[in-house]
Amino acid sequence: MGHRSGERFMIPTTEFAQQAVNGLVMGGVYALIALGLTLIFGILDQANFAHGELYMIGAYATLYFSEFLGGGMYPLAVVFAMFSVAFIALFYEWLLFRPLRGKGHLPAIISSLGASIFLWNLGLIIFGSAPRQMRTGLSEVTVNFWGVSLTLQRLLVLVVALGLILCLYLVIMKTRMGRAMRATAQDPEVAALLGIDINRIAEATFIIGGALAAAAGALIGPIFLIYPAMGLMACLKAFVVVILGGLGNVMGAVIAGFALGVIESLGAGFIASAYKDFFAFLVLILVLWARPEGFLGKTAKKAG
Amino acid sequence: MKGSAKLITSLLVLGGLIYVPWVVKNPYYLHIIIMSGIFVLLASSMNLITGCTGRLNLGHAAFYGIGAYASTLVVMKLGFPVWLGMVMGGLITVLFGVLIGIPCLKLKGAYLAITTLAFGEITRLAMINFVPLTNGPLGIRGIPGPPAIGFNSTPLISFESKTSYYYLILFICVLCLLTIRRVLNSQIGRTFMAIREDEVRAETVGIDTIQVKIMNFALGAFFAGIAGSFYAHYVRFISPDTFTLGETFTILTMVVIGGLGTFYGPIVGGVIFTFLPELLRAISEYRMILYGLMMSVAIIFMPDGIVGLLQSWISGRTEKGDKST
Repeated sequence: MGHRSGERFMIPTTEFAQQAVNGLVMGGVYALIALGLTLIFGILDQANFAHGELYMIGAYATLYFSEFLGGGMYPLAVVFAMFSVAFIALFYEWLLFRPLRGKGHLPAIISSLGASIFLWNLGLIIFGSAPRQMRTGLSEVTVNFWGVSLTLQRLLVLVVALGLILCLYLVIMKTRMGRAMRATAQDPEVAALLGIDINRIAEATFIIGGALAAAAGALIGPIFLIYPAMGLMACLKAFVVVILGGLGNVMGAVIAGFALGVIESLGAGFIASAYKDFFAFLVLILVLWARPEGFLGKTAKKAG
Repeated sequence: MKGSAKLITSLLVLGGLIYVPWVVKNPYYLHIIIMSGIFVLLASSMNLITGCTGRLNLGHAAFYGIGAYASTLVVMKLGFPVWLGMVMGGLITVLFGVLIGIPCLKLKGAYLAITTLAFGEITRLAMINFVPLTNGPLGIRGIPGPPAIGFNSTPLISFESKTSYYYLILFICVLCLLTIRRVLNSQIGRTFMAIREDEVRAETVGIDTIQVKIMNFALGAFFAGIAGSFYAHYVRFISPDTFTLGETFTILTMVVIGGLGTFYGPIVGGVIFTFLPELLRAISEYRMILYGLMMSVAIIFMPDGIVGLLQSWISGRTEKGDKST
């Protein structure tokens, strides 16, 4: 991820490929976080500003579970973390979102923002402000493809992210629950008339979203440092992805997630690494200005 | 009758506020009271945007910071007099308010919140990274205070004591709040609320929503900028650490718990949440946990905040009284 100022004249293709692949890895993580967000947004028409905290808790849960279980049990720790965060997300739905459903956008935004501040600062007290590192052993092994080197951990992120995305796609397209979710997203009132229990749908949506966010945290934990404030920026970027991909659009979120990861990585690698987060914001503001419904979204289905 | 009762109450409150420095001798307490004045301004200006038109602005601390930096820079780099600098602080913030307001015109709800949040972060990054202008993370020291007011060599107010700053912020607050009140009670204020309730319908009845929304952002930015420029010349030191997202969250807590969309809510919230951290000094590390919790609980159980509760309680009582007579 080096920033080389001397080599601006000609960008070596391998370095370009390296940055792009690193970007894809980050993109997988962004896509996982954004998927939950876009589902909640699209199906329930509520914005969850505390989604980044699910990712943060997922990372810490994986860290503690893998320390508790001992070496080599990282995959099991990931699964445990996904289950526990899914449960927390269920509480979100019960406590923060259900009482405010149908009362406009602002109250739910404020209540989830409150939850975000609460959990992030609670994290500071419980986990401490010092960043933690998670070791899985997978980061020490490097594989090479055509001059692009990738640690096993990064490869794992890509593979697991793609696997989870495929699972989600199958759930949404092939199961009864998935069909009910799509129906609710299209028209909650008609869906309710047809006997769909919106509360069950909401619970399922939050459980899926929580598990995916936790998986993202668990996967990225061994690559970067884990700290209580990590959720905030992640949530912001996930929103960028949701907006880019179009509200409630699952495939859109996946493509936009990978795109944002690559744009950021290339921007940081070849322009200026200090402005990495700046590129995400720039993309966001440009998109919102030019095409508020997102690049892959249809025109906004719902007004107000 | 009712109008005159209101006038008498306001005059009594104002008289009490003028009397404060005689009662509060401790300069530290006076400092907190001055800070609460700044936060009343910040919360009221955020409420103007978030409460009145229902558009959540998560970049409010950036407006506060732009006001502080703008005023400081025009005074220290361009040699403007301090009073003019403070006004310029407000006006330059309006410029930024309009600048961010225009791309946000089409946005609402979460989209607007995210965009303004991004704007706030970009502003903070700019404060940290434009070192020649802002001196980066170290901040700017030695900002001059306002010059003494008086005749020739006999100053009436010298701006060396906390008391003089107290009267200055009191004056600014009263002026700004009266302006906000006038705006809210005018045609424009009603169009703000029309947009909050139903933007499409507001447009249908002939409200130029674009113009109103830009004006709304500009007004909110102006008062936040004034608060920022007062802060800079009062504390005489500014750094990017003051104008963070955390500050925006604190202001939002004040607005939500005081009463979103009410005139008195942000005033009550601003005062309470400037004093609360001082009272809760022992558990200061839990402060933001408490704020987050209170924000969520308040928006679910008392969406109109403390002032909304009080208003419904008072109107309930008078209704009962009316029935019995």
